[in-house]
Amino acid sequence: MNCEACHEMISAELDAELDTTEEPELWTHLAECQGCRQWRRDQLTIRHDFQRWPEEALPETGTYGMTAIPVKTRAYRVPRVLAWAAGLLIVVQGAYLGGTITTRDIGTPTAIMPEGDFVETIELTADDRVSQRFEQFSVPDAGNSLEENGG
Amino acid sequence: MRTNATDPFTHIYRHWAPRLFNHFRRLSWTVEDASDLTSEVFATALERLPEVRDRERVGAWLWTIANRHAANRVRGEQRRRDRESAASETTAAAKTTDQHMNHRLRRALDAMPEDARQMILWREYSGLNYHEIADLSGRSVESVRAALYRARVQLREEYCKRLES
Repeated sequence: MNCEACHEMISAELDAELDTTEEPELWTHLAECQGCRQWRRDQLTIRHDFQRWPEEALPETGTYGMTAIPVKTRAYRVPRVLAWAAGLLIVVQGAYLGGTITTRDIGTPTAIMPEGDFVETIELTADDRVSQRFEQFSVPDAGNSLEENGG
Repeated sequence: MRTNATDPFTHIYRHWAPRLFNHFRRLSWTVEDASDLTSEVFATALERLPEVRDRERVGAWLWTIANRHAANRVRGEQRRRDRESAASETTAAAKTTDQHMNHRLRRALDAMPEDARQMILWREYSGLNYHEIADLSGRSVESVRAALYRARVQLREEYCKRLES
């Protein structure tokens, strides 16, 4: 194995991603090659420096616009159970109304006519309904009115 | 911002926001830009949180959003200013060994191409495994392994240059 291939394996070994079949090959080469051992030591030094790189504190709220997180973008969501219940209610109501309209017997058209002190329910034909409406709105006869008033 | 401790979003924010912020800082964004990016990531996350079915994968999902926002910002050329400021810090600020070390590593990272730097940070800082990096970067696992190796070669070169100087 050449040194370049060894460095590539060292990189994987540092990341714990080295294949088990590669390990004996790597350690055999490292035992013989001082340059590669140094390369590995350098990488460990760099890693050590990374670990000692101090964490910086996140700027406090309001300092660098951290308040810019838009609360309003978090849209209100109807709880799933309620949404399902509402949907089910609409479907049931729709089915009930649909069934009532299509199955209810409307029957023969009727009209309630005022007749003195009582109410009489009579069956009407189409012509009756028209004439009834006409009589309801017709002007009283002028001659009869005079006689009634004694003139 | 929401403060309800039982709110899942608040829980996610508290856990992930500092990590994302520090990730952006290590990618050489200024404090202000890193903070803005973190806000943008969580604004997107807030909108899309109900879409997340598997809460175990929230981390990977956030990294995807973060990656997209960072890439958009790079494309928009609203570029970081840390490289310029880093040069001015060189002599004055770095007094302790740790500061020297941080500065050296930061400068070495700055000198790397964007892709390589991102790879290294996903692995070394964020602790993502090859499969997770493959998902984020749209590469195969084998390609990730090779890319990380190349990134390490570059980082070592840049790091050693600064060690000598």
